[in-house]
Amino acid sequence: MKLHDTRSALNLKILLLTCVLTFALSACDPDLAVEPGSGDLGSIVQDGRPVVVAAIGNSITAGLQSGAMYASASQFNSPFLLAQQMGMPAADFRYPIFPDPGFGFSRVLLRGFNELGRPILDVGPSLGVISNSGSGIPFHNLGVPGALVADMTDDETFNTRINPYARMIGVEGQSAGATFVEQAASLDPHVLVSIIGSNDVLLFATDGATGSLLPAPTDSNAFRIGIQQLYDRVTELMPDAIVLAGNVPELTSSPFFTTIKWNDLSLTAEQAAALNQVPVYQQLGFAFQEGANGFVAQTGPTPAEIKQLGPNDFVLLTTPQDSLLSAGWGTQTPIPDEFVLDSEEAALVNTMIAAYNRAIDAAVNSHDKIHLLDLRALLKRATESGLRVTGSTPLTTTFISGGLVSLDGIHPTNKGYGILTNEMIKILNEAYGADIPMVAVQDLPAMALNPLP
Amino acid sequence: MHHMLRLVILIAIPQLAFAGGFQISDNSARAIGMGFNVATHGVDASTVFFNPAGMTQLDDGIHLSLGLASIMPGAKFTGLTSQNQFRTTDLEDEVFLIPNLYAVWNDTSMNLAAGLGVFVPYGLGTEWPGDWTGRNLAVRSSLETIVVNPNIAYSLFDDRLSLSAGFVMAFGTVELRQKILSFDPEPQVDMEADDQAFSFNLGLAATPSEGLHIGVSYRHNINMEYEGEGKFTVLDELRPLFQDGAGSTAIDLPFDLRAGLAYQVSDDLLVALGVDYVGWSSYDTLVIHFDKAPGNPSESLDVVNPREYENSFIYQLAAEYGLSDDLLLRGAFYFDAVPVESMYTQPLLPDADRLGFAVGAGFQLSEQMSLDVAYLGIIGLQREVENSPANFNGVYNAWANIAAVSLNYSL
Repeated sequence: MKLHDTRSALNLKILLLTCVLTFALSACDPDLAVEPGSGDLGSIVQDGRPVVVAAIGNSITAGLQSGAMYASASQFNSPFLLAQQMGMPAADFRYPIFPDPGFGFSRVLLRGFNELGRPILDVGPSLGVISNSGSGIPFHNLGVPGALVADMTDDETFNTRINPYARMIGVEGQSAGATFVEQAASLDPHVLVSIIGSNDVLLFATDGATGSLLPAPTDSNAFRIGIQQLYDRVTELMPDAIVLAGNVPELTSSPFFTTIKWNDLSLTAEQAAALNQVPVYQQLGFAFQEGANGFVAQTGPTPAEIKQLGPNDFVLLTTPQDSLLSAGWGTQTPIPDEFVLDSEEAALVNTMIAAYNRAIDAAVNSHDKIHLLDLRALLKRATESGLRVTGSTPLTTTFISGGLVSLDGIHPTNKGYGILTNEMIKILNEAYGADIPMVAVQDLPAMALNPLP
Repeated sequence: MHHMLRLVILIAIPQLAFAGGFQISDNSARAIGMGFNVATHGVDASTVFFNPAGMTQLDDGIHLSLGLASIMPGAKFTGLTSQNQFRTTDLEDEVFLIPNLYAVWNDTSMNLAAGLGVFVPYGLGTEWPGDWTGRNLAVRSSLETIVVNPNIAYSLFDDRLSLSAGFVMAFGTVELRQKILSFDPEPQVDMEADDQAFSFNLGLAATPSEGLHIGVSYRHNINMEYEGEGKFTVLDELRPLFQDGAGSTAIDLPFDLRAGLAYQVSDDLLVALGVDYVGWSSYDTLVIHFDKAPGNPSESLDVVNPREYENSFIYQLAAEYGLSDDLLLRGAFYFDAVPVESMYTQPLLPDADRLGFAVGAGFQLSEQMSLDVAYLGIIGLQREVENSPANFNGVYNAWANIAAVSLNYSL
C-alpha cells in the first residue's frame, strides 16, 4: 500500500487550520488522500498490449462448485478474478456461462441442518446449457470439468468428444485452434493459468475405485510424458506467456474423503453384542464394541469381499447418510463398494498423486516462465492449520463449516477460489515485481442455502 | 441502584471514547476548555472527577455542577475490496450526549471537604455499515461505564496541601455486533453483557507558593467482568447451528494518573502544563466467550482478540485569561499518544495519535452562578495498518467535534 505521506502532512496542516479556525461543530473531515493499490504489473506485460489472462485445465480452472457449473458460482472462477485484479476489463474476459441451475452431473444443494447440526443435502436439476457460445472466438477460461492431461493437447473434433463440457466449451473452426492449448494460444495471453492433472486419478478415486468413471489411474509414466509434452507445447505456442501450473492435492485435504470417518459407527453395548454374533463377521474376525467402530463395507463386487474398515480406509461423502443412520448400512448391510475407497485403493491413489506431482515439478522446472501453483501445499495448510482471511476464524477444508470447500466436497467455494487467486497473485507479484492487489476474500459471498420452497 | 441510576440520571446513554483508547475525559466544560489540564487545583465542583483533593480549595459551602458534553465522532477506513478497488467506508454518524453531575461540600474551619460525582470515565460507540468489508470484526460496538464516586478531602499546612480518597462504584455494559461470514445471507451475532465493580481513587493538591498549583490524581483500574447473552440473527434453516446462549467478556478499565502544574502569571492569566498517564496495558487481550459456539452449539468458544495496548501519555498545555471580571477565555492544546501499535489497530476502536485543540469561555452569571462553554476539535493522525493479526489492513482516519456546557452553582 503506497501512501502519499507528504501530501497527507500538508492536508493535515490545512485541516488543522480549518478545524481550529472555524470551530466548526459540523464534522471536520480530514479526507486524506489514499493512493489506491497501484495495480502495477511489473514486467508481466512486455509488449505494450492491454493485459490478457487465459486459462486451460479442469473443473478447478473452470470454477465448478457443488457438482455443477452454474453462473452464480462460476462467476468467481479464479482466472476471471485474477484477470480483474490485473486490470483486464471484466467484459473482455470470456468464460462459459451456464445460467442457474447450471449444468453438472450432480448439483448438490444445501437445504438446511437437522437438530444435530448435520447438513441436509439434496440433489437439484442441472441440465442447463451454455448461454454465450457461438462467437467463434475461444473462451479465455477454457477449463473443462473432468478433463485429463491428455485432453489438453487432444485434437479430436470437439463435437464428438465424450466429455459434454469439452463439446460445449471448445470452439470449432480453423482459426480457433484444434486443441485447448491452441485455443488458449490464439488469445495470445500474458498469463496462462493451467490447473490439470488431478482428474487422472481423482475420477478413479471418487467412485470408490469401481471404475465407472475411469477404469484405472493414468499410468505414472504416461502422465510424466503427457505433462511434459503439454508444457513443452504451451511454451512452444506461447513463448512469452507466464504460466501458473497447478498440481494435485492429497486425498486427506479433501472433505469428500475425510468427512465421514471410517469409525463413525457408534454402537450401544447391545448392538455391538448382536453384531458380534453374526457368523460371517465372526469368521472374518470382525469385532464390535460399545462406542466407535469401523464400518463394514464391500471392497469388491462379490458378497464375500467385505471388510471392517480401519484407519486407512475412506468412506466417501456421497454415501447416503440416511442409509448409514437408519438403513443399517455399515453394520448388517455392508456399505456398497462405490462409497468406499479401501486402504489398498487409497495407497494406489496416494502413490499416483505423489508421482504426478513429481512429474509436474519436473515439467515446471524445465521452463523458466512456468511457475508451480502449489495446490497440494495450499490445501494441506488449509487442512492442518486453516487459511486466514480477516478476523479470528480461519477457513479450513472441514465440510461446509470450514468455508473453503463447496458442497461436493472437492471444489472450492467462492472464497476458496478467491484464496486460490491470491496464491496466483503472490507468485506474479514476487517473480515479476508486480503490485497486483489481492482479492478481498471476505467480500466474496459465502455459501448460500437452498431451502425447500 | 444500578437500574435507577441508568433510568434517572443517564437517559442519554454515553457511549463514546475520544481520548486514547476508550477513555473519556469530557466531564466538565471548563476542563474541556483547558484541554483536561485541571488536575492542578480546584475551581468548581467538577474537581471531583479531575482531582478531588481540590475540593478543599473551593470556597466554604456547597457547590453544584451540572454539565453536558456532546460528542460527534467521525472515522473512515480505506482498504482493499474485491475487483481491484480501494473503497472508503465511513463510520455511521452519531451524536453522543454525556451528562455529568457533581456536588461538593467544603468546610474550611474543619479542613474537610466531601463530594460526589457521577460521570462517565470510559465509553465507546462505533457503528460501521452492516455490509462493510470489516463486518466480521465490528459492526456495532458499545461500551458504557457510569461511575458514582464519593470522595473526602482533608487539607494540611494552612491549606497548602490537600489529600483525598474516593470510592468508585462502576456500572458497565458492553454490546458487540458482528457478522459471521460462513453463510450467505450472513448470520449476525449480538453480544450484550453487563457488570458492576468497585475501585478507588486518590488525590493530592499542593500550593507551595502563592499562585503556583501542583496536583496529582490517581484513578485505579476497574476490573469489569461482563456477563450476558450471545444472540444470533440467522435464517431458520441455520438455527440448529446458531443457538442463543450465555456470553461474557472482561475488560480491565485502565488506571489513570493525572499530574499538572498551574501558574498564575498575572491577575488575568493562568497557564497550566499537564500530563495524563493511562494504564492501557490492561487492555492486552479481549476474550469473548460463547457458551454455545457459533456454528457448533454443542461446544463453547473463546474468541481471543489480541489488543496489545501499552501504557501511554497525554501531554497538555492550557491558558485561561480573564477578559473582565465576568468573562474568562480559555484555550488549550494536547497531544494524546496512541496506546497501541499500528498493526493492532482495528475497527472496533480506530485508535490513533490524537491532537486536541480546545477553546472555552466562562461566564459569571451572578454571585452564585457561572456558566462554562467549550469546544474541542480532535484530529486523529492517519493510521496505516499493515500485517495486522486480524489480517485487516488499510488506512484509518478519525476525528471528533465536542461541544460542552456546564452550569455551576454555589450556595
